[in-house]
Amino acid sequence: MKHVSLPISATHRLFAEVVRTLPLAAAVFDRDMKYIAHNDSWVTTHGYHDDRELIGRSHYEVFPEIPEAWRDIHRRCLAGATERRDLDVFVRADGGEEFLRWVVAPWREADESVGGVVIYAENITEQIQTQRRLGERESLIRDLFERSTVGLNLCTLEGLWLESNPAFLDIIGYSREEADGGLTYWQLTPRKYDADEAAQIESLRTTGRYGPYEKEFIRKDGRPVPVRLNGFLVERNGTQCIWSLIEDLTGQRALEARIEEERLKAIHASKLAMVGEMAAGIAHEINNPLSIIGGYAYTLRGAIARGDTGAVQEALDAITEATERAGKIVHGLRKFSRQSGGDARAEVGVDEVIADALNLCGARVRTRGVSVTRDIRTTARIEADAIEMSQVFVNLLNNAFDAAGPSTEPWIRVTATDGPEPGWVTVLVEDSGPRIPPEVAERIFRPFFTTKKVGEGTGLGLSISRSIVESHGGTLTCDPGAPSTRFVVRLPAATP
Amino acid sequence: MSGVIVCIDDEPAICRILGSVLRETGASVETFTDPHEALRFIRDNDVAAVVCDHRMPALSGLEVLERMEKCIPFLVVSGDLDAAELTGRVPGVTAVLPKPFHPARLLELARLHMQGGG
Repeated sequence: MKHVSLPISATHRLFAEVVRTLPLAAAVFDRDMKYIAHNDSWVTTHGYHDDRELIGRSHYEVFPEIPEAWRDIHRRCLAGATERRDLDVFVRADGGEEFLRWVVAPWREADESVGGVVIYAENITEQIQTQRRLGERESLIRDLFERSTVGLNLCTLEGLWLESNPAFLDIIGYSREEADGGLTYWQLTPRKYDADEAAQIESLRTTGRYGPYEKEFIRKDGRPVPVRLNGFLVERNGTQCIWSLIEDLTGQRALEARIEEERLKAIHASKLAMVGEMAAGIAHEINNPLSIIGGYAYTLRGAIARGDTGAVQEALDAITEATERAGKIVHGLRKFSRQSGGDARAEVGVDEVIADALNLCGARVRTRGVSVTRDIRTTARIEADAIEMSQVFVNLLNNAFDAAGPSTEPWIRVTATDGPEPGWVTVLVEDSGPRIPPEVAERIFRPFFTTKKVGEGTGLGLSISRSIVESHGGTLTCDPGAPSTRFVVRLPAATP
Repeated sequence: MSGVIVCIDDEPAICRILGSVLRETGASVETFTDPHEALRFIRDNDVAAVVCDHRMPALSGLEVLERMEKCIPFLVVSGDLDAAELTGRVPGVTAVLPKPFHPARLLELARLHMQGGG
């Protein structure tokens, strides 16, 4: 034990203590690779759990698994070389892997000859494993970024793009080089969104998040692309940036447009069907007064010849009344068939809409002994396509007529009131027919649902009517709580 | 000519016209706005012909025809656009007169079928 024979001064003692407690593992060997000294870390770093003292024993006897390559290193260092590795793997006898950073250097005797080697080793297994885990995580996140179908983009508060994933580049139609080469959010944002953008920035400022926000980007080819954005603030290298998630809404918009087109087609088809149905009814209603006019004109000849002024008077009154009746029907029809353009909405009084509808099917109802009460308690006006709205009420009145018909004293009541909330109008269409059971109340609004006999109804009336009312911002429901059939139309009143 | 002509139309004014025109045949005429009442009358009386509206709330013209237990000339007077299609298609319908009708044509048909039918 050479170190024992060395004279130990206080400095040496201090130095030995430093070495002993150093977190770095250190051991001193003689020329035969026998331990002369080691510190505490050496034992823990090497996972040496034997109670036997290391000093005096050969390194290769203690760790027989030391590979030949290391033994070569020891030999080279004993010959005077110094070697180091920043990362080396040591496979322990139990199969476990350890990652080490080490330095092997010769130490010299007073005569400068090599007395042995000093080995410093640091077990960096934990750091390596942490690094590996981080690497895996990063590659996972990188994959997500690269392969996400949602566009991902990081930009500065000024809108300069820092990171864009392929999905995002796809949406805007620019290459990565173009996007990373100074392209900004504002270059691709149409000016019409200025106010909306301000609101989103305000949201970022106050809550740290923005969106969901729907807008358009101008693609490189000049085509606008509808997108939905949402995102949040993050800090990157000490400056604030915005992470955004960008969804391409092109497909969704196309689908919505197709649904809307189908809806308009259905309304148009039902309008045609209703016009056809009404034409038949109206022909009947006009032919009756015409029959009266023709008939009385015929009898007039006889009455005049006889000098029967009473009969003449009766004939003339009947002719006048029948003419007015036919005229009203034609008037209502003309309004109904008026060209319905793209934007046919205008302000119209609720009372007018109801009067029009009653004129169109009122004759049918009146002559059949159904008593019709009209109770208008509002002067509200609505923003509406008068034709579409008449269509709704004609449909409800026709249904009411069919439902009331079989009752002993058939009646129909149309009530219009303000409310239930300020700015709304409610129209009730009720009839003496049996109340609609709750289980049917919602189903009747489905397309092709009908309680009428085959061939009598299209089964589209109520579903189309509801869709028309909803497109005017209102609701059409059936009230199963009412004692008889009751349909409720609620519409927002036009702001004066 | 024996028997009564029965007119059925839910609209009173039409009934009055039918009545005053058909009386020119010399026959007596009974008018009804209620088809059920008319059916009772037809069952209990000697009826030469029935002139009946088609579209009525209580019973349609064809339903009246179905419920008649007698074989009597049956003229349908209708304002429906497709009323003419009934001619020759429905057994028992003697003739169809579309509204608006010329009273002279009504008279002509009534005279023709009352003679022919009995």
